[in-house]
Amino acid sequence: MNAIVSWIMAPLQFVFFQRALFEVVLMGLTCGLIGTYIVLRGMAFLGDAISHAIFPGVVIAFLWHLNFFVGALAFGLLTAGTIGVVSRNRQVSEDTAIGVLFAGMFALGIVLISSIRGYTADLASFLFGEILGVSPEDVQASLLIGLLVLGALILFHKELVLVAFDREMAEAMGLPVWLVNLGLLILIAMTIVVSLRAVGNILVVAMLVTPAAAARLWTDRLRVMMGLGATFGAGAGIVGLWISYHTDLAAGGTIVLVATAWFGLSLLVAPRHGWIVRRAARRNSDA
Amino acid sequence: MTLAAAAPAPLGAPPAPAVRMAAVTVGYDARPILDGANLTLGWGQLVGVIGPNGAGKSTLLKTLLGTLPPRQGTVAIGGWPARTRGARNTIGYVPQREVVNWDFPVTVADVVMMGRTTRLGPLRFPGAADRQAVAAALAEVGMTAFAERQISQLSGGQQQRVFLARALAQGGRLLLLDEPLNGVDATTQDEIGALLRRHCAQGGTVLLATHDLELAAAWCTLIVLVNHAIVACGPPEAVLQPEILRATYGGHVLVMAPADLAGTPTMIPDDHGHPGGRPPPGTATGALRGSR
Repeated sequence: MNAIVSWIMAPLQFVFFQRALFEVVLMGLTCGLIGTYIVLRGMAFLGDAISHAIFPGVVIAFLWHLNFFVGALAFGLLTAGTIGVVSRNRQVSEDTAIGVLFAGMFALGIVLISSIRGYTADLASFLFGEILGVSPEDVQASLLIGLLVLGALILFHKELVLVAFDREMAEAMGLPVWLVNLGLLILIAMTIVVSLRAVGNILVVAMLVTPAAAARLWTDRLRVMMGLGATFGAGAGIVGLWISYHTDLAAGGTIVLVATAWFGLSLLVAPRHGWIVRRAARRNSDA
Repeated sequence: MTLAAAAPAPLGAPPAPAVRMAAVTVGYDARPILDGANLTLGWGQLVGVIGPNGAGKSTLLKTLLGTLPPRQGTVAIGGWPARTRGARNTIGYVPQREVVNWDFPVTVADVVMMGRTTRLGPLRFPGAADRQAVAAALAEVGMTAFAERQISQLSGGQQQRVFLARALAQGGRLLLLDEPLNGVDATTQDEIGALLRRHCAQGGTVLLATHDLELAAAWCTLIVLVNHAIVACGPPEAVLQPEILRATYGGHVLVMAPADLAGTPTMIPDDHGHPGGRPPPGTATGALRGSR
């Protein structure tokens, strides 16, 4: 019993760990909330694309000694806006446009960072996050962006839900659907920026999708799904952070693996949508 | 235009025709989907919009809704130019059921509440009046007991009634329905029919796009025949005539003649005297030739 308590308490004495904890909780909450829309609207590829396209912004901020969030946010908004405009005027398919854009932007980031001598260490920290190195400014910026995302999700809840559920009805009712979609892209970009310190550019998509996808298995209510998604995201962040501290494994990867494991478990045991319950229901209906 | 003026007029005191389309052309230059359409519909009418697939039934509805702006001509809804707030608040819309993902994690009441979205406006949350409107709409379609049910658990007919309740919650006097009877059981059909007639009796107007000629003839007070233009508009017995139907469907149609609705189906002969027109390519004739 004492061993468990000290296992939990030991890292909490370090300020860097407290900051990391705060940061992963912020990330988990925001990702779980916005992830609900990503899962319900099938936007996983888009989320992945935006996170890759933000990469050069991170690198430029590093090269020019700017604040990390400035570069990331600028490129996040730029990407969200570009995708929003491209998907409105369909010269090429949206899928193709996003594919071209995100790979090109990611390559730009790689080329830029290769201009630094001995760049591999920096590259790794950008791509896979460096949660134990977050500064107080990082945490403040994350908190601010997270609150903005949360506020927008509450204020525009009914518009976001209507466009997600029934785009045709939204258009018929005179809602500016493209503006709602652009707003959602911007919120996704902001969420990704909050998550970069914790899990990095490559693994963000897991946090955007996995907790919300697990939440969908546990409920048929949208608000509950958002709440559970946020809880699962924060929970995976906390558990992953502790495991990573004690095992000395990469924090970002560990956090994502915890989320993935939780999704797998949900797939098995969740009520109604879980494999076990479905199987039992099928057996009952056969009998 | 003040906001007060944009509120719906009380039932029974219609200020202007439900629908007025003047010389409306929709679509691209070379092949307009609707060409020079003129249509005026009063209040209290149950209107069936019929025509072959791709002839512009949905386009007509979308033009009235304002989602497809016409290239030429003017559209007014209850006296309001289309695409204005006044026009949108006059309309309740029931899209085809297939356009939405019924696995979406929302309840029946949530979906009906979506009908209040634009009435509420941005940054406003539903209040008591909205919840009342939702409850009334659910009661009207007989779905009160299902209010807290998740929508994937509904049958096709129940889903359609939820969509209808959402259109009622919009508060529009002009209901636009796109193929509302697809995949709906006979009981629900009858209930929807009764509900629509009630809406018309209270001074509303219903526009119903359907491919079911028989049902349109039985239900509707007016029929609009569409084939890239308004071919005809009038009471069923006046417009469901062989020559008008041939002009609409090009000879490929099986109808119950309105004179003997209860009787046997009659085939309208096409120009070659074959009943029901030439068989479409690849049917019986071709198959027989192939087996020889």
